[in-house]
Amino acid sequence: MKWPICGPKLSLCCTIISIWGIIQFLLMGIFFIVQAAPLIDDFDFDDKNATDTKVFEEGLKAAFHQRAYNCWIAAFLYVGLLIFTAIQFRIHLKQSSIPPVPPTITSPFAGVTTEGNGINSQHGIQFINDHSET
Amino acid sequence: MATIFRSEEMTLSQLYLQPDAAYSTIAELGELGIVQFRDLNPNVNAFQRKFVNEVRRCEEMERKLRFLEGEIKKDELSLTEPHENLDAPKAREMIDLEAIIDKLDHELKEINTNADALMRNFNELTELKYNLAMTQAFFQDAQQIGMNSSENILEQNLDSVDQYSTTVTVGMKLGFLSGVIARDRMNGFERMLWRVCRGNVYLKQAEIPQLIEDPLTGEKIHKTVFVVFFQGEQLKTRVQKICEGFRANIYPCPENSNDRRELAMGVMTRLEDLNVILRQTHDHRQRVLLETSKTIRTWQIKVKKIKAIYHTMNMFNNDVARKCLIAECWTPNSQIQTVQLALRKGSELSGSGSVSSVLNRMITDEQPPTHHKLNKFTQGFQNLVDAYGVATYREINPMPFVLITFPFLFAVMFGDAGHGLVVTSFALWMVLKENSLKNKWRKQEVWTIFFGGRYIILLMGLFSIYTGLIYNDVFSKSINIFGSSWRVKFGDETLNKSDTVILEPTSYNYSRTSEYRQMYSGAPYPFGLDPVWQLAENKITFTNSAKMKFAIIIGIIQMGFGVVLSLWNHFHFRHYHGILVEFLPQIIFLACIFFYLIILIFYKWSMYEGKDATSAPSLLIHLINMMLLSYPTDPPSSTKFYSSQQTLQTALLGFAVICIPWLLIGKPIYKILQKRKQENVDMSEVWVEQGIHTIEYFLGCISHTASYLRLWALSLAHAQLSEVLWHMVFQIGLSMNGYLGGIASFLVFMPWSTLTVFILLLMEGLSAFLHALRLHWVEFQSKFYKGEGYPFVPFSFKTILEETPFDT
Repeated sequence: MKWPICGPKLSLCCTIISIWGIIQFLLMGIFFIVQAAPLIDDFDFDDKNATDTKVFEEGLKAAFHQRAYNCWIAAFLYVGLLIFTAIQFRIHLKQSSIPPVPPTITSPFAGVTTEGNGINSQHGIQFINDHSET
Repeated sequence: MATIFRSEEMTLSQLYLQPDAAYSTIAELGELGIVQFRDLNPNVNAFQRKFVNEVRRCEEMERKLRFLEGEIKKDELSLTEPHENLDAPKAREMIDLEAIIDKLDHELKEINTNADALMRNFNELTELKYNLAMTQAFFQDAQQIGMNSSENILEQNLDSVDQYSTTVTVGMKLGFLSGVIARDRMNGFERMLWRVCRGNVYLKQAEIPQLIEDPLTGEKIHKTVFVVFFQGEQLKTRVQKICEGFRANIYPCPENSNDRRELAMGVMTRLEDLNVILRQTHDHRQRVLLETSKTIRTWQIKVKKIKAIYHTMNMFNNDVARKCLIAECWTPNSQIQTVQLALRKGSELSGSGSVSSVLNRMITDEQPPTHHKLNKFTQGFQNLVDAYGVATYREINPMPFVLITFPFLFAVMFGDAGHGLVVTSFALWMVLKENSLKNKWRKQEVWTIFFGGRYIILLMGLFSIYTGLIYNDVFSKSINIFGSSWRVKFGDETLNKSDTVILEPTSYNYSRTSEYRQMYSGAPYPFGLDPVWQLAENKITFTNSAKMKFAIIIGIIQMGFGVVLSLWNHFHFRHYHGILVEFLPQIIFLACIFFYLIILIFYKWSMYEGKDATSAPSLLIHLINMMLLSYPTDPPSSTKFYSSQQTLQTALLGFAVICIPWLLIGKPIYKILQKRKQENVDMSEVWVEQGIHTIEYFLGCISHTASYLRLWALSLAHAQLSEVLWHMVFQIGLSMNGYLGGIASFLVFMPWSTLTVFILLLMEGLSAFLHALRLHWVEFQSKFYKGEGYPFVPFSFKTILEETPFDT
């Protein structure tokens, strides 16, 4: 991928969000798989009103695991986004780090100035002549 | 050793400088940046000072350098920034520098005028070239048409042969003018010609394909060639005037086609020559500018330093009799040795040899400037304090205390470990990359504010993680690290019956059978809030009560600490009477009512258990009853905490009340006693001042205590806001069933994280920051801090150069 699709700021922003997202979703996946109680507020499941404890627990476990897999899927998607935006960002970094090539100068400073003066004054006179003709 | 708590001790000293050595000595001192010079000629206007000429010459050089810089920027050349610190140039170097800069300035101006003239010439010739080419085409067309038409006429109407010949002869006498005009003026020009000449002109026009530069504006514009045919001299003058009016350039065009061709040839060769010359001029300009761009920054710094030195020397007294310059300056005592070294070095450098400059300490009644020894870590916190007022000389500096309490109070309001983590990582990045970030984005105000406060932000972040763990909030979710102390031990039939159940800390007969269950293990959660509260419906009721009490405890302790700090000020300034008439009544009042309240809070926390929860006395009602001296026995919330409560509380209230007249009349009485020794004290002023002070303190104690409740209010708002954000946004992804939830979570995370940063971190962070700042300025510092000093501004090249950065 050589061409930049998103700008330097957008790619940087997305890179940071991706890193954050990967960490957070990986951790949340772990919390869901161990069935952390504080996360129970965040979803409903089919067997919520089941009177049988076994059915209820099975349903709860399945729902928790589903969330865990979803979190890991999101984390995986963010890994993809991270790779993409990081490459984009590196391209921009490389582009901006190429310094403009300064033109080389050969003659020493003092020499240039005196010589230049002579030439210029000559042209000045020439110009005045030209002007009077036209 | 008390340097961190108080400002540096300062001395006013006189410097006797040899006129020859003055320049190099000031240059040395400017590099060190440890003395603040006083203006000894405040009444002399800027134009009558001694070194006004030198300053003016420096300004002239600066002007020329600015012109050169502008030219360099116009050509988009990069400027070489000097890396090492450049010493101030010697006094005699100024003339050389002036000569070089003047020469360059002159040369560049000459190049520019030449280039302008050449360019104008070039433009005119280009116009002429097109003019000739176009008119040539007109005439050729005209001849062809003329021939064609003549043939037609011959064929069609033989009678009109005479008429035809007359037209040809008339046509021969036709005069014409050709020129070039801007395309957008063409319409008006044409209409004007038609009206003025009453239709007796014939206008031909053709557009020039090339864009031609306008000599006045430098813009490239479209132009049109025109030829006007007319008859007679009168019309010619009219047409000429119209041309002038429309700023059309008229070019002479020979009537003969051979002449035209010759002229065109000549124009072509001259254009080629001009092209060569123009290129050479451009190359020459480039070379000059490139050379200049390498050294221009160095020159600018040198000129700035020279100017600063002469500007400083303008503030000195000139002692004609003793042939020396006299300067007065404030110096930190610890730096006097360095100053003396600099004086010696300065006179050695100037070569004036044996006669050294002299430093003479002066004794003065004037209040010296306030100078704190700071480093990059403490600087930010000192800025927070100084924004309120610069400390009075040698007064206790609140900065070392603010350093800890400021981030702490901020974090109390910003308690969320997740948010704290984000803030900390941002601050850590700024702190670790400090050196490379220092010179970036210096023009962006918001960035400089964040970067300047990077250590404050780092501490705020770390403290927020701590308070977040105490509140057990990580992005509004609790984490169960140590295992909750609560167990749900209900039977299935209880759980099936209702949606919510109440967990009691005591053994309680839930099922109305004889079965008692212990839901609470008895040992509290080891660190912070028990995660079980996350699922509780009365979480806010519980945390409100706890956070309010925290806020009151923190606030009263901080205010008490402020009053205690005033004791150190009394000691330092030897105002021993102040201890008796100010400190004692203040601290006794605070202790009798507010410290006592804290004790009651801790007493209630430790002495009342779950089983007495319903009958526990209310703190607020007790505080009110203490003021009203009423001790009712009915409702249980106003029953006594302990047996001799009434006696103790009445005594405490008595002490507190005594403090009011004590503070009110103590100081004026002291002044009256003093008055016997010295006469000129206006007593009414003392009474009024002390009256205001007294009212301010006692009312302040109450209102400030209430004011600390903002700690609770903001922390509640922050927790609720982050919870709402989680519920409204993040939950969309989590609540979805099936694998679609994964993609939804991925999508929903972006707005959630963005809103978290902008609303919860930036907006809420800003508001918590401002409230923490207010608590320090008003509630804490009002107890001991005067802030009536003025800052020490040393003469330093470094600050001068930093204040006016070059635009890059």
